[in-house]
Amino acid sequence: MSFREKIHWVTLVTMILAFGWYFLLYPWRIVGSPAGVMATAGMLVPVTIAIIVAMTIATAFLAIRSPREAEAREDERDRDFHLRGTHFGYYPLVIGIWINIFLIFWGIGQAEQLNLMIATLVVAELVRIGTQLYLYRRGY
Amino acid sequence: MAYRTADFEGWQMTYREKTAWLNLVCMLIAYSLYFSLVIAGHPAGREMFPMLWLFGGIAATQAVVVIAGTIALLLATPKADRKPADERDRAISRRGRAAAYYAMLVGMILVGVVMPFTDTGVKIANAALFAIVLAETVHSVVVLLSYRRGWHG
Repeated sequence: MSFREKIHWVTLVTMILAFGWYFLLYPWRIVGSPAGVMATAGMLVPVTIAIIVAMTIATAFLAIRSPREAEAREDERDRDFHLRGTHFGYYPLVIGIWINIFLIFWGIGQAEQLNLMIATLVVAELVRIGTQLYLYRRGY
Repeated sequence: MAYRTADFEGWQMTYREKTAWLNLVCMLIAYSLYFSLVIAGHPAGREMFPMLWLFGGIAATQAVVVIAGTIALLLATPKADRKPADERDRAISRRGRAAAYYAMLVGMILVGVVMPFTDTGVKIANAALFAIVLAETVHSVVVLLSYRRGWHG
């Protein structure tokens, strides 16, 4: 497995764990109240910190283990995978933002809106990274 | 004369490039009008139904113009030049979407994760629309620049 592929795996697993924790432990009973917004803010802080810390440690560890690969620039294949992954990640973002606009007219609450947007961002990133990993695995 | 011909040929466009220009120009005109009215104090900036009417009207008009323009381009382009998208066209489209992804991501973080703490309703909806228009503009501009600069992927 190449250095870049390992980094993508670390990102994917970190995001699934961090946001899995967030969405599983979020107090959905209060999502319709103003306290729901505060709960989102309060839970996003540890999620963000956890992702940053995990990514920093994992990247440093992998870079120390294979310094030559870590310093190598993206080749044509990496760039192509990156473009394909990002291309696919664009659509969940657009769909999520349209759903958000329509739900605003249906009177969606602030915390619900926040959670919908966070979910959209997470799905888009998972699609982006997942596509790249699929292409690496498939040996495209 | 030879110089003039070469210069002119340098600006010849493929069918796909023409449709990309059509989309970009129509979108910029339509949403410049929409957001200018909103900024100028049109009720679409504050209330739900005026927003739906104004946005619906402008979006529908834009769609009709784009469809009519696409049909006109289709009829004006010889069949031999209307080939299905080749590898380069697809690579250019992916490049455009990849650039648009980051524009949309930033817009989405502002609209979906920051604004709900400070704003509500129609203002967020308009900001979300602006993020979509911005991302689509980035996509079209990257596609057109890629065609103009002869990007090959």
